[in-house]
Amino acid sequence: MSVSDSSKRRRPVVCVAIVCLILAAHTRADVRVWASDLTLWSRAVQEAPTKPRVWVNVGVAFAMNGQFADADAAFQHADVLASQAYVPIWDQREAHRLAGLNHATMAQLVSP
Amino acid sequence: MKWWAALGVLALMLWAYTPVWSAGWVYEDRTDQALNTHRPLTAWTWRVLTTPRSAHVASVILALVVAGLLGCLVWRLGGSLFAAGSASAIWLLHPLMAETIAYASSRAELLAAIGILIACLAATITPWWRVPALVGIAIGSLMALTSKESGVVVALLVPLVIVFLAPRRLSSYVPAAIAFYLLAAGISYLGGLRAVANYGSTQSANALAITWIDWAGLQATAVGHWLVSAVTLTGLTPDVDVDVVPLAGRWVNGALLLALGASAIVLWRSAPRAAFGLTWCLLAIAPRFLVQQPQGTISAHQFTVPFLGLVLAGAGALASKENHSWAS
Repeated sequence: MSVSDSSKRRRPVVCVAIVCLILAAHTRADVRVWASDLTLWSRAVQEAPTKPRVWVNVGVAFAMNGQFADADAAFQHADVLASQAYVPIWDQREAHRLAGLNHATMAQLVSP
Repeated sequence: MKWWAALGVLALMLWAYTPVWSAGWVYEDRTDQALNTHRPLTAWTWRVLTTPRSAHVASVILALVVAGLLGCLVWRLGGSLFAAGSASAIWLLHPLMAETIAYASSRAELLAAIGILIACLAATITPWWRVPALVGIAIGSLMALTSKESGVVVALLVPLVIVFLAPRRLSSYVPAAIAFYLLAAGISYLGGLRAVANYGSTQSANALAITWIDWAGLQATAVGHWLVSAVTLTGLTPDVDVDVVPLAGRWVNGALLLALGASAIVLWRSAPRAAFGLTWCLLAIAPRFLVQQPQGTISAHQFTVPFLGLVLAGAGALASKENHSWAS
């Protein structure tokens, strides 16, 4: 077997190895997002900034973290988005219900 | 795949998923521990795996099993050892599967995928009515159906494998006919197509008025999103906003799916394994076009089984091994 043949045979293996390295690096970065609700939904907000449910979930994540002012702002924003765009009824009701909660009720809501 | 390559993939996978060891429960992990009444196998695993770390370790192990079974299926369908190993590695390391593996609630998808792959591997035993084949198909199907409702696609994928391996044999079409009858009977038992469309819906969700064509547009957009993400490695999120995509964009995505279907038909003779993978992908997403849950467009973890099809199609494009017999 010539050097050239050997090189040709190795080419697909090298290509797959490079693809695997790239995929693994991307995956590692994406897996970090799943560390907590806050990291997860903060990322989701970046990807879908006009979706009410995402803001509801980031609000819940803030509330679970004890950041009730941030949670309130997220719920209010979700309520505004839900009233502006066509979204399923569930989103509208949920966003509106959460937007009206005080901090004590919020804390009760997210307690284990 | 040589042992050092397998070890390399394993090391890469463990490196990629290191951040998950310290992760807690997220999103529906908390509620899924108490629910899952329609998923007995998954419910049992929730009773056993009570801490986030044990759940994440289990998901990583289950993903390795899926990857192993996928490699075996590629091999049994006539792919080379290199194609089988590459398919396993790419499925396992692809960021599209990060949600499936890092999100504990997605364990149901992994269990269903294992069941589907066991059933499909058993279906590669020819003829399909031999006892080992029937036992394997039954065990795999039971596992898929008791893990997640989407496991029902096993009834489409097993006949696909059987027809693919012996398309000229009339008896190959018997499982497809049985599956068609069972699916039709199941839809009738549940109360017809409209009842299936509202499966899992709440009272408020039932009030949501959406036509079949609107739903198809939304679902096609979500599927298109994941197809593009699989290639570009972008747009990976737990909640894709398909509502913002204009009507024209939804039609483009619908056309993309039709083009994939047409490609599968065109390639069936010239590149059968690639066509098989594309058909697998399309059959695996088909039930999603029936069930119209509010905001229930397909997510990354729900794309687990369809993604197996894409990887099978990719593996089909790689060199076939020589002198490989179909016989078991």
